[in-house]
Amino acid sequence: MSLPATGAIFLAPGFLPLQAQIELNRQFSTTREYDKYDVIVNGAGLMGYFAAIHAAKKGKRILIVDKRTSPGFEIAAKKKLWIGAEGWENLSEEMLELLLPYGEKQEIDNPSGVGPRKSKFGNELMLFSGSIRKGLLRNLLLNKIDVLLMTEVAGIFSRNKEVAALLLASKHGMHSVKCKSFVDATDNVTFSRNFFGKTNPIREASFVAEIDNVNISKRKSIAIPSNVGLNIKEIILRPGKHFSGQAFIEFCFPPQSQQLEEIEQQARHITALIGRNFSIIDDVIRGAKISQFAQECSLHLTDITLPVSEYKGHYLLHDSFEALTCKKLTDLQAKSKEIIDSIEYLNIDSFDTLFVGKANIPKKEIKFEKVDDIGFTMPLEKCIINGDKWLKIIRQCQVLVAGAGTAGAMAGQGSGSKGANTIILDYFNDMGGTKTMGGVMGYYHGVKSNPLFKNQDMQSSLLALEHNMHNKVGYQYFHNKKNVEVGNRFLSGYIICGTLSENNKVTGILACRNGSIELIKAKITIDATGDGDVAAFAGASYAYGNSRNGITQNYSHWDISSGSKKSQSVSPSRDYDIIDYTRISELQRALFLSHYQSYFYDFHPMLGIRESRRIVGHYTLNLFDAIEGTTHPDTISRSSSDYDPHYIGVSEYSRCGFLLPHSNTLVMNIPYRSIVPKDLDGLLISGRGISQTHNALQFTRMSADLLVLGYMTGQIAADIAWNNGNTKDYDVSELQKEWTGLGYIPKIESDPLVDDSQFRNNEIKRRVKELATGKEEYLFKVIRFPKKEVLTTLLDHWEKNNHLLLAKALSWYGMHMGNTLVLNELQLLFSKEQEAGYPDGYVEHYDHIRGREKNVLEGLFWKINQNIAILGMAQNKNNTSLIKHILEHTSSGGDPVNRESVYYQGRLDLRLIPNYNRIFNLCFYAERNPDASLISGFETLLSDANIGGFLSKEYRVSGQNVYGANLEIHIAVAMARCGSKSGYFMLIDYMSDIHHDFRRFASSELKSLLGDDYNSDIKILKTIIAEKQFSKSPIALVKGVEL
Amino acid sequence: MKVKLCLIVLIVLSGYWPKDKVCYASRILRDVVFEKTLGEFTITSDNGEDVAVTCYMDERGIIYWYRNLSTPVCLDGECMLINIGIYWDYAGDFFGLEVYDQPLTKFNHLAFSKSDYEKLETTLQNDWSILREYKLNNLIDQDLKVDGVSGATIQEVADETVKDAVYTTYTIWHLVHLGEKEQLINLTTSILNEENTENGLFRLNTVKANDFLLNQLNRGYLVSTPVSNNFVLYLISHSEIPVLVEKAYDCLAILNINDNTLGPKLERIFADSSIVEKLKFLTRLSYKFALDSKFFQQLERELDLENEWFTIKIIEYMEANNYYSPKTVWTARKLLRSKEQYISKISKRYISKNAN
Repeated sequence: MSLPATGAIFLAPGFLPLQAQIELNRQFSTTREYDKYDVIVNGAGLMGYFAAIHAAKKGKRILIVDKRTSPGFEIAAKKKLWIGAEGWENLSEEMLELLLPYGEKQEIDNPSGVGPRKSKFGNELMLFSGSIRKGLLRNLLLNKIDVLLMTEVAGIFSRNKEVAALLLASKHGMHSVKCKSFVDATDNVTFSRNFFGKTNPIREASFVAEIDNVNISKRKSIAIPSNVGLNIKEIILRPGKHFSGQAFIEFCFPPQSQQLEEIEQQARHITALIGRNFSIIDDVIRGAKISQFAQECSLHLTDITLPVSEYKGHYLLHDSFEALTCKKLTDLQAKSKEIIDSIEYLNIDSFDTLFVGKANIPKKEIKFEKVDDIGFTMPLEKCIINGDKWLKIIRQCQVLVAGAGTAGAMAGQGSGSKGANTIILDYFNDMGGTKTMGGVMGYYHGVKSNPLFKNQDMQSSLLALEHNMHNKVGYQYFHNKKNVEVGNRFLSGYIICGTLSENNKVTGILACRNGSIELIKAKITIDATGDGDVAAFAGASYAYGNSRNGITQNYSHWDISSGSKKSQSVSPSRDYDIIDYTRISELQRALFLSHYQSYFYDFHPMLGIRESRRIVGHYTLNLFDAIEGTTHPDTISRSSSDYDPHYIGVSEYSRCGFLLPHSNTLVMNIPYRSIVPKDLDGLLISGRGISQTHNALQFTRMSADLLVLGYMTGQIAADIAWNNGNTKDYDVSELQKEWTGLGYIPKIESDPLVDDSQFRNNEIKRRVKELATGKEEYLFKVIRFPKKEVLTTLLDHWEKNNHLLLAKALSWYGMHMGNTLVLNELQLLFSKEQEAGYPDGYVEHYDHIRGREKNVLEGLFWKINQNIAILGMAQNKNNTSLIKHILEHTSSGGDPVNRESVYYQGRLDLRLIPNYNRIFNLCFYAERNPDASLISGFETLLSDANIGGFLSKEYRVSGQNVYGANLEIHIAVAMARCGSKSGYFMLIDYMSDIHHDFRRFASSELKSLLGDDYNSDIKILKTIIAEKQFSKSPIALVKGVEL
Repeated sequence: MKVKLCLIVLIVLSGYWPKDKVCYASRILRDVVFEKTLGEFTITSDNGEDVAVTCYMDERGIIYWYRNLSTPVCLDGECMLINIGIYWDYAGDFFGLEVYDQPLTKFNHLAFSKSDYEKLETTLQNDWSILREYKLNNLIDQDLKVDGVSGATIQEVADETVKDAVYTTYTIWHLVHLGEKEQLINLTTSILNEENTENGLFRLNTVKANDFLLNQLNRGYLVSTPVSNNFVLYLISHSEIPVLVEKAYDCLAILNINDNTLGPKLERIFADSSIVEKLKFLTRLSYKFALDSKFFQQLERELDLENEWFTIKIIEYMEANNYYSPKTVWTARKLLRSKEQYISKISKRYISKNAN
């Protein structure tokens, strides 16, 4: 492969060419013949970047890690999006393209720029955050450098003070990685300063915020009038090139504290005060609004003398504090090269000590395990350390809230409002998680009449108005302010990498910041990570994805839309792919993908993860609770949504047409038991990770509801902490009374459908009776009950009245009587469809389904799908000949349907081939009723270019086509279950797919079919399949209904 | 048939539109008498332009806001001008609507019926209508490729709009709700500040009015005075409305400390409080809020070695206020032996500061 000078030019928003796909996947698919890197660079700022590129060009094996979600922290994370222009003419083309890629031209909408790429304003070149992050990452990957973002170096493994390996901390835990040398290129070489205990006081900090509605054409300094009451002398204004009116303010301030999180808070507070006083400070900013905070401050130390490393193989790479210029950039590059050229590569195969968190830990005290990530090839090993025994840096509180997102920020407020000594901890320096750092600010569904929600939203809006902030920034500032007001400590910039527990009681977490792992101890911990990270570290049981194939909703990554008048060709809010966020490779892949496809101007630092672990609690919310609105005696909050899985829905209820995306808008009650992990004390879950089925999750994940749930969880945690209680036995009734009085939850009353068996029996009888009279909506109302409760009544009615609807209900429960009626209807409907052709209006248009009266199917398409699936549930071989006929008369229907709306066009789950759901249901049938006669029909389907060939081992056709692969793997499963050898081989091929979910599904299906996973060894599996006589052995799927 | 929809909302005129003919007025407007006009104020519209709103006051001294505007509602370039007056109450909540010159009409040019106006009012009363989350060009289902006029409104939107008048409903709802409420709240508060809290709102004593006042006090926008101090403390000790009590506690941090009577009142309330309420006190009282020694003596009596976290909270409060006494120092010494490192650390710091 020939390497272009730079990669950024190819990275158009929403576009992923083949070359880029290969680069993205290389790191995760490479077969490695080595177990250690030549160089590990800690910190992907400019110097780390230059060092890594130079080393790679010398043929070295490089890993670069950075704690942030993107490389280029000096420019991007600190939002210092400018560089002194002097000497730009001497920059190499490669460097110029890195700073000002051609691709960004379409997003430059400020006509005042001159010079190179119309980016020169006064004496400075203005940069785009997106361009820098995209370009740096692309070039790293292009040069075959392994990259781990959201990862920190936390310790050094050594023998005789010679570096042998490093300890990495990430949300996936702690891992060791061997190396021959280590370069610390962190900001201010903070890692090494902390590591050797040589931290120097911070003399001054500076901070940048982006604003709009300011018209300047070059850098401008504004003195702060004394009557504003700010302890800063001036602010520097710079124009942005994205659009006229875009600008940046920068200011320096003396820190009131040496605590990093307090400096970050001080910076935001000063920014807010500046915003409030825009009109007083200067006319040029009268009417301005703050649109973004930088992610972090720049810190200036009193003494920049570098610490002397005690380790051989440990090199320090440091920047000066001077402002970045084109000249300095060249110097940084030269300096980085110099360090790389001076490296003396060690080759130590064993080590005896790990130095971490001010502790020397003998190797024998560390447990090493293989990384649980099928097909993962990076040379990492999982490390387990007894933090309580070894780590020295300790903080303590009554209530610890891990994660300051939608639920966590409010959990902090809830706990603080009850007076508990509370620590709230987050990866970012701002609160709000998916809403603010991910940019998903809208409230789509949710119980928006809840006074707690309404009140906080209004207060946040008022705060934004008062400080001339856009609502997103106001929301960040609001949460910070509210938590501080109740005395909470907000520890920001931490990566949670472990849990402290004792006898199944969680007593805190391990969290890493700037290379120091600390213990944060608490009486009660709230896992508000949204991913159940804390619970998983503690060993909690959890569910992930749907019960059939383990796949979750896809993730999104939102670009930042702005005041530019130029319209973007793609929506800023796009779905990217299906990932398993709990795997190292998948998180990185997701970050890479969205860097490659984002806007050049800017994109949010946080991925929009819709679904992750669901921790198993004392009660698991399910679809029945959702659709019946079960009132639990321990109800603590409510949620509301339509069924919005951002996916086709694969459960039996969806396949049978009862639970289609955007149908079933309803309100659900959340019980206390669902936030208590089953086997752990000292821990509560808040946010999307509560105990629930995959179906139930779709109704509980809306931010307006998570916000309320978070607050309640915080209050509960505080109450338990004050009373020294345990989570399992906690009685929530007193708080319920309080919340009822406040209007946060309705008065809790008994639910007869759950509590009164007589009522329930009568209700079932009533519903079956209504069904027997031909009321179609009662089909879904009946089949939500367990078979043992319904069957007798159904059979009674069936004896008297052979009604089609009763036949369908009986089929659902696996009964064969009545199948003929269903078959007859199916035959008739299919004949009609064959005559009519595929409906003109796109039948999968979910907004049309939304609000559909009585949730009853309309049109032929889904009625046919329903009958196919219901007959599948009946498991009666006599039905197969008609299904075979339908299969053999089905094709893809054409290309994935284009959508007119830019937003819908960016929704992967809405761009499907016309017959996607039809084919999926044929697979559904075949899995449950495997028959060799169906194989040829599926083989014919696979020859359709819109159906077969989506295996994305080389990332050849993935990304936008992930749902193509999803259909193909289900066809493979159906074929394998019917006894097709090629079906088995396709599954083996899918064990190397880029998507972890597909790898896992293929692997589990093969295990189910073969009775052994053969250690997922592809060679062995291929040998076995090649020798086996498959055509004789169909194997039916045995699976309970996913409620 | 491809339907291309666009709607241009242009505020043509605001302020004094001649009200020649009132075609429709909300029923509630008949029940209120505006005794005086406090003047004209300015707020910013969604598109960043200054628009005038008029402030009225009724016989009880309660504030209302009024905006008169004329705006076209367009579909494919066919625009219809609507001339309306919007009333908000003091809290920026929708209060009433007037329609001038000609009645509102629907796509089929039929005038709004009584039930249409009722539906419109119901929607306007809902400040969290689904209309908040939709953009104008998403109101009609473009992908269905059917004529928007014939009812292809997205179904959940259809539930919250007047039939065949989705754009009119949407436009008026957004004029009423998005961005206006916050600005009107601020305007009301600034008037209250000028009137030194003697406004009728303090006398109204409804849940909504009290809630509004507490919110504005809490955010520091309504200047606290001895009158507002009494208001807050009264609600803490007497209100039976939980949400008001809770918000009154939140206001403890911003009480006016120049009020000489405040200390004894706080002491009394604190003494009569349960442990849960005392926690609320300690959490909300600003650390910079120096009360007289009697209050600290009261706090001293709460020191309890059996409840270390509560006790350390008191000690932290005392430390922040530089209050040291033999009993507090003695307690801190005892807490040095706590198993909880945080508690022993704070105790050590307190003792050390006392020594200095």
